[in-house]
Amino acid sequence: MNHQQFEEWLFSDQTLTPQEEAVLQDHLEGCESCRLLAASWREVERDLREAPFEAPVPGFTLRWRRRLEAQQRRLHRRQSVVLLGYSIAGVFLLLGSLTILLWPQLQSPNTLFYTWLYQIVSLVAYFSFAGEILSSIFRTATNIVPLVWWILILGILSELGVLWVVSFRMLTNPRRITK
Amino acid sequence: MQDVESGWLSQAQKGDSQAFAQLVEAYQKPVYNLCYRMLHNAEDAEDAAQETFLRAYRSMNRYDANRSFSTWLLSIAAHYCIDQIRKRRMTIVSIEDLPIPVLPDDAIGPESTVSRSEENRRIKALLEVLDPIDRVAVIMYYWYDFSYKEICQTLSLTQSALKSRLHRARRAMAQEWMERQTQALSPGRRLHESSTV
Repeated sequence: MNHQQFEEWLFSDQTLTPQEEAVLQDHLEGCESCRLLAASWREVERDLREAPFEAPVPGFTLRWRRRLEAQQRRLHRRQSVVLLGYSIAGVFLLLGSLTILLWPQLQSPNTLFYTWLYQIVSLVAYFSFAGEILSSIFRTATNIVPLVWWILILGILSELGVLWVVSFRMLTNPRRITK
Repeated sequence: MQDVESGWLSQAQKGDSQAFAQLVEAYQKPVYNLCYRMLHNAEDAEDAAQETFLRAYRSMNRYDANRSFSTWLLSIAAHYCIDQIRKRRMTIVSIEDLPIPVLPDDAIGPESTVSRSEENRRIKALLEVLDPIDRVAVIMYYWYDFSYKEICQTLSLTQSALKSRLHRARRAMAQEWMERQTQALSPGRRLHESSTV
């Protein structure tokens, strides 16, 4: 006998028509396996519908907060380790590049010393020359631009500086978990 | 209540952990119950429920406010539990590693404790015969009164696939119940079978 249709009706949510209900009852009277299955399903369904909601042990939210804090601490630590790793790799890369670049000069330390000394003296000379040019420009500008404009420019610059410091602190500070 | 909850939701979406903690307080029971019914163990259920809320907190920026928060949250819990069950199946656990059962609440009398634990054992045995996705579908249907549409959304299933899964699950549970009844009614037969082996 084909029981598929009857099983379909037994385990379905749809409401059966009176005719379908009569056909099903008729079948159940004659078929023991379907009758047992129907009885078992009634018991299972009753159990499922009566089963209570299980609740966690009190203090669940507090435990969640602790987990969140621990997770955020781990995250910050991992970020710091990654940053440190990148910095060390960067330093090694830079030192390696410098070593390759300066390898011929490293063979003779005297030449390297004089070359660096020459470079430093040249830099100092360049900076003092640039300083002289800038001071002459400044002297000329103070004669041209009135005092009010100077105050205005300095005020704007200092406000921009404060704004930059505040936004930098807000962006770099880790978010705190409020208790 | 809904206004209060939408306030918590919008605050939580801005990263306010205090507002999210209110949501944890409000939804701990449904989330824990789903995890408990899926994993059948208080310790694992606690872990899974905690992890669900952590994942939800991290993904709050992806939460669509037009969708029900409970459906979204239970969907995270369901998928996490499905993964745990699949992982568990791949791991062989020794008897010493099994978690120690949590002692029942003192406020409940010994008789009701026994009947409740018996009921839990029966439900556990019934749900355990099901595939994890079928199990979620049954739990959402019978404990949470979710509509077919909501279960389909949660499990990314079509309505016909869900109907066929529920049909299969109901049949499997009825079959399991029948087998258990048969075994319980014939202890002499089992004794005879074990003595002949």
